[in-house]
Amino acid sequence: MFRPLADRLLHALRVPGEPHDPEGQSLLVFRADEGYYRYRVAIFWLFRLLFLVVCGYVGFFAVLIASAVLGDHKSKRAFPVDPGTLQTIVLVVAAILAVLYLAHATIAWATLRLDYELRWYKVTDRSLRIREGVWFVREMTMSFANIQNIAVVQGPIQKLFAVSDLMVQSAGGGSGEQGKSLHVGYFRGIARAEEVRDLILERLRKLKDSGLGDADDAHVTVEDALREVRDEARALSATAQRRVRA
Amino acid sequence: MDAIYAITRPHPRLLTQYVLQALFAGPLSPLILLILYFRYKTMEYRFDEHGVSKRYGILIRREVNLTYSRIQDIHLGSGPIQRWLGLADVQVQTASGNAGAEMVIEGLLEYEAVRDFLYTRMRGVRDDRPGDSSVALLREIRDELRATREALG
Repeated sequence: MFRPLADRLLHALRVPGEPHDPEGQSLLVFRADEGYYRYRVAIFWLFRLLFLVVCGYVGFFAVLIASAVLGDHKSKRAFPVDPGTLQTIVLVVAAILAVLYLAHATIAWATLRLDYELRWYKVTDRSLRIREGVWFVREMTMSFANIQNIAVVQGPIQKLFAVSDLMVQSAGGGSGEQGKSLHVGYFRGIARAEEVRDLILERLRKLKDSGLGDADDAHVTVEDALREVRDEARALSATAQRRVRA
Repeated sequence: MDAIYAITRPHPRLLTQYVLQALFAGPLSPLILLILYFRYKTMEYRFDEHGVSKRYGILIRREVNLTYSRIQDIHLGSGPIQRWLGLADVQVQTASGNAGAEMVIEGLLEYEAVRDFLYTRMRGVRDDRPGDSSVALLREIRDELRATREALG
């Protein structure tokens, strides 16, 4: 039931399939864990519940206040609308809101599953690519040479579902709000995030050792070569002078 | 690669995208449509060996120049409308303080090729570093000097 509908939706929205592999060797592909889906569903229901509780709370007081006001003015007929009509209006508005709410909830619910399925985190020996999103599809590419910070982030509810986010940061500021900055990428909802972190750190270290991609290292090598040439020239001139004297 | 160097103007579908985008703005639609129309009309890209530049605007001219090697990360983003039109935004960022993108390359059908093109020129993606050829050259000079010295000695 879900599959054909989802496939049709994905086709209608022109959602692209698996992203291309980024440049580099020894590709590893990570996907969001099953626990991430369950975590998102839990959050989904938690917020729905919270929303309904708040709605009920506000609605209760609204009715209380309205009835008090109406009750006061009933005899004087100061209120322009007949209480019966008002009740109908309130009910109709409430019904429309409820339908909208349910429609939104259904779409959000369906998107949850797809959002979980359409996640790819690809890591090669020199770069990584993060793909996420259903309505808005985002693909982020970073090279290891530019990565500044890697951290594992896990909230209390995520801990219950044994998943965590791996945060990857490149240089450059943001507006304080880290989640909004384009310089930060997340491997959301992976199981064993520590292992993935260690793996990336390992690859970062290797990159540093071989000096790949670092403009500064290349510069030093040129200088070394120049020094070698100078030494050689010096030795040559010494030999030449010896020959002249001899 | 030459196909990328040849890019100067966005695809006409970008105008369609802008019109639809403006429609979503509600009462402000006409104003936004006007702004976006002129943005489309004046938008120009230039890709060369070292960097990419984008300029647009009539009253306020804007120009962004980026060097490939300074690129920090590249994002590819697309909403449903853009995907319908076969377009996507390539958001390019350097290490500046902006949380947003320094340059958004929009309205190109070959966005994926552009992304890959920029990406392979980013720091740390390819082996061939600027110093490599100079080092090889210097090594040759050194060997030549050494040969002369040995011939003399």
